[in-house]
Amino acid sequence: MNTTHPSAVPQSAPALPVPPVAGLAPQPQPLPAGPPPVLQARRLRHTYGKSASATPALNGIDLDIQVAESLAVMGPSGCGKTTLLHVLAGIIAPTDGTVHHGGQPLQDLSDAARTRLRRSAFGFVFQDGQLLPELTALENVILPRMLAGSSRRTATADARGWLDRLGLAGLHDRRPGQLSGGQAQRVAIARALAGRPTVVFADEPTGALDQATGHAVLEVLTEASREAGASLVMVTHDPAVAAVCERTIAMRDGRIEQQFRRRSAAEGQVR
Amino acid sequence: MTLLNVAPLVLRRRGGIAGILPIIGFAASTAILATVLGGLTAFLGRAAVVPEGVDFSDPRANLPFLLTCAAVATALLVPSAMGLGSAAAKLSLSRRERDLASMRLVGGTSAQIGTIAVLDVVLQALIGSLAGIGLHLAVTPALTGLDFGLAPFTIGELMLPVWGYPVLVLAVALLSAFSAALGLLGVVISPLGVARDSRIVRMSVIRLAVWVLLVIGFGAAFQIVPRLAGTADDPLLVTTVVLAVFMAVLVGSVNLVGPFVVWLAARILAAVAPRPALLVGARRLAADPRAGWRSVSGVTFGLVIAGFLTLLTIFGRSTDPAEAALMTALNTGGYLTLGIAAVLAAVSTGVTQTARVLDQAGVYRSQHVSGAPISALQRARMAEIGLPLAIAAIIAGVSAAGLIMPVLGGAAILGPLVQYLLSALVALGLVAVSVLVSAPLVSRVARSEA
Repeated sequence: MNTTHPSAVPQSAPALPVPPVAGLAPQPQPLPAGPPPVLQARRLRHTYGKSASATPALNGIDLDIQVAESLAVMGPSGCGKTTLLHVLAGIIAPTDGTVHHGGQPLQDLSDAARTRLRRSAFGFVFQDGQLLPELTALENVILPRMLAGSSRRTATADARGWLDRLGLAGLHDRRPGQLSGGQAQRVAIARALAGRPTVVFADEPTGALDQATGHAVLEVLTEASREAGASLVMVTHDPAVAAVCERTIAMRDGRIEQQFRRRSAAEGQVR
Repeated sequence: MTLLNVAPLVLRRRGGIAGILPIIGFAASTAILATVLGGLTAFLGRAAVVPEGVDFSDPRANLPFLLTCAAVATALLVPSAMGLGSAAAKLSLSRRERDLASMRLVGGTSAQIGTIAVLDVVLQALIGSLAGIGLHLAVTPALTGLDFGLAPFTIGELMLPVWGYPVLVLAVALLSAFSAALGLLGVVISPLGVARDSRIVRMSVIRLAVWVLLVIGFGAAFQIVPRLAGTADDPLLVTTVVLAVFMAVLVGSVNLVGPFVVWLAARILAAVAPRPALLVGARRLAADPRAGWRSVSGVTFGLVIAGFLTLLTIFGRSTDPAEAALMTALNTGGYLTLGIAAVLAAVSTGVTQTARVLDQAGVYRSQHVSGAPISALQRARMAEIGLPLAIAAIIAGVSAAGLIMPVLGGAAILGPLVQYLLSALVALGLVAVSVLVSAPLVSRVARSEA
C-alpha cells in the first residue's frame, strides 16, 4: 500500500490551513466547486452539561467530506473527536451549527427520521464490534437490512457475498464468541457495508486488536469502503491507523488544529 | 493489608438497579418459599387434630386429601422458587465480575477471589432473604381471607414455626453459595478481566428420553403405590408422601424436557424468522432456553392444575356440605397455586430481562446508533418471551378444551370456563408485563452516551 505515515511528513511540509472557526464566518460557506460533499458541517459547537459545569467538546468545526473519501479524525483523549463523529452521524444534535447530508440538514430531522437515516445511509464499525452475541455472523449482517425493510432472502444473499468478499467464507454460521477478534471485526465491517451506505463511521475500529490483525482489518475497511463508493470517517488516536486514510484532521480542544493529505508515491508530495 | 481488608473497598455497593436485582430475586424466592411452606404446615396442623372417626359429612373429613393437594402444590412451587434463588445468585455474581477482576489485579489468587465472590453473593442472599421474610409476614394476614371450605386459617397457623425462619434464611444462603460456586466454574477471572465460557448451548435429546421414562414411571407408581400403601400402618400418609415425591420428580422431569422443547422451537423459528425482532428474540431464546422455560414453567403447571381442578369442581358439584367444601377448597387451592406461580414467573422474567439489558447495554446502544429504532429493540425482547408464552398458552388451551367438552354435553359451566380463561390471561399477561418493566431501561441505555 502506498501510504506514508503522517508523522513522516517533513516538518517543512505545509499543512492545509486550519478552517475558519465559528464567529469569523457567521453564514454557512458556499459549497466549493466540484462534486458536492456527502457530508458538510458548518460552525459546529457542542457543549456537555450546563452553566458552570459545562464542558465544550466542539468549538467551531467546519468540515466537508467528499464522496468515497477516507478521513481520519485524530487527537488526544477528550479533544472532541468522538463527539464530532456522533454529531456528523446524527446521533447527537450539536449545540450550534449545521450538518448537511446530501444537502439535507440533519438538525431539521426528528429523532425517528435521523434513526432512519442512520439505518439507510450510514454504516457503523465500533471498537469491539458490538455484534449481537446470540446471532450468527450471517444473521448479524442481515439484521440491519431486515430492519430497513429488505426481505430475509434478499438480505441473506447480499450478506453472504459481503462475508465471502471479506474472507469469511465458511464462517457464516459461527457466533461472535466463536470468531477471533479480527474475524468479528470483519463481520462488523460487512454489517456496515451491506446496507450500501454513503458514509461509514468507524470509532477506533482496531482499538481492541493486535497490531498485525488491526492492520489487516484496516486494509479491509478502507478498501471495501472505497470499492463500495462509501466515504469513511474513522476516529483514532493512532497515527499508524490514520495513515491509511486519504486525509487526516488533527483535533485539539474541540477545534481542527491541522489537516494532512496522504502523500502517495505517485504524487510524490503533500497536496 | 490483606485481601479481605481490601475486599469491602473494591466490592462497595454501588446502589442502582443493578445492585438491587439479585436482592429482589432472593426476596421473592424466600417470601414464596416461606408462604408455601407456611401453608403446608397450616394444613398439617389442622389434619393432625382431626378426631378419629370424624363423620364424612363434616368438612374436616376432607383434610387428609387437602393435605395431599397442599403437598403436591408445594412440590410444584418449591423447585421454581429455588430456581429463582439460584438465578439470583448467578446474577449477583455476574454484576461483580469487573470488581473481582480488579481484585485479581491487586494480587488476589483465584481461590481467594472465589471465596470472596461466594461470600459476597451470600451476603446479598441474607439481605434478600430477610426482606423476603418481611414480605411473607406482610402478606400472610391477607391469606387468612381465603376460603378452603374450613374455618379460616389464622395468621399463626399460616406462619412457619419460629425455628423455621432462621433455617429458611440459612437454606437460601447455602443455595446461593452453591449456585455461585457453580457459576464460577463457567468463568475465568483474570487481572485483565473476565473470560466467560462462550460454548454454544446445546440441548441433548436425552432430556426427552428421560422425561418419557419418568412419565411411564409415574403412571406405574400411580397404580402400584396405593396397593402397597394399603399394607402400611398409615396408608394415607404413605400415599401422600410417595405421590408428592413422584409429583416433584415429574415436575423436575418436565423442567428437564421444557428447555429442550423451547430450544428446538427457538432454533427452528430463528432459521425461518421473516422479521428482525423475531430473529433476535428466537436466537436469544435458543442461547438461554433454561431462562425462557423458567419464565413460564410455573405458570404452565399452575394452568394445568387450575384447569384440572376447575374440571373437578364442575363434575363434583354437590349439595352435600362436605363435598361442596372440598370443591371450594380445591378451587381456591388451584387458583392460589396459579397466582403464586404467576408472581414467581413474573419476578423471574423481570429480573432476568433487566439483567440482560444491563449486560448488553453496549450492544443495545450500538444497535440504536446503527439505526435500529427503540421500538424494534423492545419488540425483540417481547418476541423472546413470546415463544415460551405461546407454549404455555397452548397447554392452557388444551386444558380449556377439556373444560369445553362438558359444555358441549350440555352442562352449564360457562362461569368456571370464563374464570379459567381470565385467570390464564392474567397469569400469562403478568409475565409479559414483567418484560415491559425494563422497557424504560432499554430506552435509556440505547440513547445513552458511549
